[in-house]
Amino acid sequence: MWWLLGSEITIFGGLLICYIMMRIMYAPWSEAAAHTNTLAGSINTFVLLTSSLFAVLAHHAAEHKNGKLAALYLWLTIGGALTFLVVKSIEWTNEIRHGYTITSNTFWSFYYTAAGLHGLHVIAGATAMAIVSFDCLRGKNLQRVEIVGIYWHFVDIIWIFLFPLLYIAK
Amino acid sequence: MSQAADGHHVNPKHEQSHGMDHPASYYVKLWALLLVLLVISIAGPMLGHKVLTMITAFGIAGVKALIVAAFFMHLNVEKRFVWYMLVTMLLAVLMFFLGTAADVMKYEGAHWTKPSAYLYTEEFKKAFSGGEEHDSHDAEDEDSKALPYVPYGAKATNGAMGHSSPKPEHH
Repeated sequence: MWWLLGSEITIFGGLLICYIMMRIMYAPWSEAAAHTNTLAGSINTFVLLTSSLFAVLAHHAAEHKNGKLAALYLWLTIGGALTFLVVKSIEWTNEIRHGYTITSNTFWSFYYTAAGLHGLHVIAGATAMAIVSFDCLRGKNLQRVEIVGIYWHFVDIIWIFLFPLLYIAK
Repeated sequence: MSQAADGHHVNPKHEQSHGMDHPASYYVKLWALLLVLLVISIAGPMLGHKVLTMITAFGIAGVKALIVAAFFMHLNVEKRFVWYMLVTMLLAVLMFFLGTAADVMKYEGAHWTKPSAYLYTEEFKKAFSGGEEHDSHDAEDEDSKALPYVPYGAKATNGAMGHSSPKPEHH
């Protein structure tokens, strides 16, 4: 898992470094960033931080050999992932309706690429947690709760940096 | 737990110290701290101070990330090689930045220019409009449309950051 996360650091790190360089260089990017929805970004940050709490509580329960409680916390974490995706869908729909699409300019290209790539990781994490939760219910492979938890916390950390870049620093 | 995240067996001492000897309330307190930091990062821009906004936005993002990594991911008790590997990856990202910033963060070099980049600079617009100030957005748009194309390989001698029109030099 740690090797996977190491490769993810270079993927997201490269993307975010490009964003930062372009943002510093070109003033119109800050004008475009002014149109992102801070409320939606804040809600999603809250949702992901809370889901990270559930993920670590699932790990805590698994460490204490309580598979059913671990499965419950995993499903609460998945609930956070689904909430995140719903908020993101509403946000994107609103932006596209206002004419801000992935081809509008390079800022919006970066915005949709970075947030979209992160969204794919959210879907992957939720899927993995769902699979692990079924084993948890049977008390099997409880060590996997820690592995999916670590992945989920990483997805949370990526968002922690995307949030100020896309929504706060305007 | 008999296995670590990488699937290998770990010794009981490491297992015991894997952060899970804390009660569940310990993580709830950390989550509450993360929420307080989130509120501060959202409220930061309301102060209207650019430097403060940068600190509250990115400084607090760093602190939040460290809290999640250290205590939720339990990196504070993780094996040392994990730290080395993750830091190596961060250094790779830094090398990527150092390798590309010299091009990306410049408008021109010894034998090249970046014409598209000039279109974004106020200095360039002023250079082509004779240094006149334009207050209305319409006037700025017209200036943008009137900008001439500077071909690659043609150096803008006075540059977009200068005060006169760049003139292509053919090599």
